[in-house]
Amino acid sequence: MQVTVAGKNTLVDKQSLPFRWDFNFPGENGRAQYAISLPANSGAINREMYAVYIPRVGNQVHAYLNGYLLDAPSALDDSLQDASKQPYWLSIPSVLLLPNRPNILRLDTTVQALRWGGLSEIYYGPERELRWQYAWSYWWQQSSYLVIFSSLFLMGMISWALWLKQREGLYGLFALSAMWGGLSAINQFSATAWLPWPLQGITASVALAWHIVFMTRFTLGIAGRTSPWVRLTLLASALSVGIAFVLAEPIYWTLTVALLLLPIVAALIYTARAVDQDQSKQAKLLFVVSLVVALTALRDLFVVHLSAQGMSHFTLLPHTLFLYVIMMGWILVQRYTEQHQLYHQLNVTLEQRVKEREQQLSHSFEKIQMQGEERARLVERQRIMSDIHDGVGGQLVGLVNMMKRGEANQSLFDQKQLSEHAQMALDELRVAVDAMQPVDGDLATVLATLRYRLEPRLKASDIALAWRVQVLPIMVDLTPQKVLQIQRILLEAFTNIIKHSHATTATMVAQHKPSVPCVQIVLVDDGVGFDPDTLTSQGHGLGNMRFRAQAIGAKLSMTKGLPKGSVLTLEIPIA
Amino acid sequence: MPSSHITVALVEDEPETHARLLSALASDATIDVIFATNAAKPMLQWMVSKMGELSPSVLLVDLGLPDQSGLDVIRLCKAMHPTTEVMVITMFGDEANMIRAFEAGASGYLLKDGTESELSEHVRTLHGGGSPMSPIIARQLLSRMGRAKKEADAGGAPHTALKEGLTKPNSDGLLTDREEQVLQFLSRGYSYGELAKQMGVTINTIQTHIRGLYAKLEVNSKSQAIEQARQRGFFEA
Repeated sequence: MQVTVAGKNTLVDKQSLPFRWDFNFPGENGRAQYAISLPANSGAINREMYAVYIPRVGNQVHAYLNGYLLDAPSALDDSLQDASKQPYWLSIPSVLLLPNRPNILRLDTTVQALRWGGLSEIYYGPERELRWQYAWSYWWQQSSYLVIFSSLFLMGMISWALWLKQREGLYGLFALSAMWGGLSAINQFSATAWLPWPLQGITASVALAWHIVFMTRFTLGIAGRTSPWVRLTLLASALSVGIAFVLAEPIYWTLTVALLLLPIVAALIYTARAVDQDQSKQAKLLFVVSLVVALTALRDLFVVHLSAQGMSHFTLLPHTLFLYVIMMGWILVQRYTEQHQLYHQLNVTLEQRVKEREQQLSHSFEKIQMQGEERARLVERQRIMSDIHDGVGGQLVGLVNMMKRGEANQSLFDQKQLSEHAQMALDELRVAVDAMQPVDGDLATVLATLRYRLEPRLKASDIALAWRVQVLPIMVDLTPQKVLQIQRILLEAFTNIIKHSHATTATMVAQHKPSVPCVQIVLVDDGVGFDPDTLTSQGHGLGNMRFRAQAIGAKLSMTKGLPKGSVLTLEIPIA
Repeated sequence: MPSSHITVALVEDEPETHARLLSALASDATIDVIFATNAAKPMLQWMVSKMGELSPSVLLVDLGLPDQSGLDVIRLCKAMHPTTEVMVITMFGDEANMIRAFEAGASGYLLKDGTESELSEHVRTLHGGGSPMSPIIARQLLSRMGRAKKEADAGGAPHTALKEGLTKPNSDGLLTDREEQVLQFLSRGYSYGELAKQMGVTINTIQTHIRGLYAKLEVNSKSQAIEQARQRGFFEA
């Protein structure tokens, strides 16, 4: 093999692969040319496709077969490209193979210090035999990092959102770890760097270090531990990475990797203690994960970083750190389930409480309703008492007075007047009772009942009653009190007709006037009428009638009839 | 006793009213009071003893009897003496509750409002096929039977508009259009005479409608009782 360092060609007598640049030329950038003699084979004869599979070659490479350029994935010296991140595959066209004598494969490479420059062992053979080895290697070096990145991104976002909502430190730590781990993973599966070397190396290494630091801090958090040295560890690991790259000595980089073992081992110790104290499934699982991570870190240190054979091996720590992602998912599921059970229990408790409260409310409501009904009964009782007192009572008192006056002085004893008073008392009693009858808001039935009661008296007085009551609208606000007022007004009016008018005919008209809107009741008689100039509010109980009309929001008027008699008009508004 | 005489049985527990009613009935030569008592049980015993032998033309019954409900007296009387007309003596203002008496089989009523002096006339009217109906009772019947009719109409039950002046018998116990019209007018206070004039029929036709309405109430009541009995399995073997 011929290796060029800083413009000087040097032959390296080390014939056996793998060749690790950093171990041979620590801290140096340079060029290396590898000439490999491929054994003669029958590929050229049987036309079978042959291939070369190289687990790792770094950092930029051009491949030649028997002097013909076969592959140049990037320009040499282009430090934004790095071929060492993925296995190298070279299909060998059979037409270029020389039959029955060795073929020379030449690899021209450029190398940057501390970037896995060099060449691992080489596999040459039929494509079908090598393909699976390449695919397996490709999975570990590339595809798995895409899976790791996707999972970290998803879980990181969830943790971030949970931290924003709940401000629980554990979620924040996982989110930070996931962020740095994601950055590290991107560096691994992306062949093109976003910064020139060594800045790219520093960034990616710091990302991996902080991913580890935050993940171990997260682990301690789950184990119920706090650690005051997080910031210190972050600073120390970043400094260590920086120094290793600036000095570009592999030993410093190895020391940095070893330094990262400290938080991992600390996490292992604390999770072991947690298992000792708390035999929960979660503590045990956490310990197992920490143990796997620690063993992997040790394996990477000795097998990959410290060994010249490291060119042929790959770090597994990022993959085992992925177990923490699964752990986080498991914790979230556990917490969700516990919360769900808690809410279910809360719901059951709440339902019970609501039921109890409903019962209490129901009792309270019944009590209030009973009190309300009792109050309504009391009000109604008082109203009935008042009606009877004012109406029947008034008439009876008048009757008693008249009888007393008659007893004292026989000349004042007027049987007809007494009879009239008794009749009026009876009428008052009737209207008071009728007012309580169910009429379903039908004013026509109220008027009809009055007629039903008064008809015998009108007949006895030889007064013919013409009845013109139309179909009236249902009045929802037709309360017993309102009914009583209307009946009393009309009773007064009919009594006036019977006692004073000397009429022979009375006409009762009731109609709906939608334009107002109201129900208009008109009572006309053909009696002697009255003189409007002498009619006072006291005359014939007109004042009482007006007062009662006002009480129910109705309008009452009394006019002279044509050609004689009187006309009483009552307009009752409809709600 | 001349065959044209109206025989009356009376059950009324209030002594003063009892006496007034007896006095009013005695003043009419065409009316004979054949039995009078102040409690339900003696009246029922008397009716049992006279079953198939002698039925009074009219039974006057107070609903609020001390030993048993007057409604029971009406029901048993109609069962034992179907030809007897039952007239209820009631407090005025209690018309809204009279429906139950009509359901039991009553077809007339007398209000205890001091107009008992006209009792003999009322008895004669009832015996002659006339029944009174106050506006409040008409309103109650409209609310009750009119609602049933609307429900039946909505449910697609056959209901035929009636020709002017005719009343089609309605075996389902629902109101006919004519009966509804009669109740509408009565609830608005029109007298039988005014109603007959408005509808272009005789007063007798109106009376027939009224009797028909009371009979329908009784039929309805009986149908419901039978239906309830059937649902409770009383008729099952």
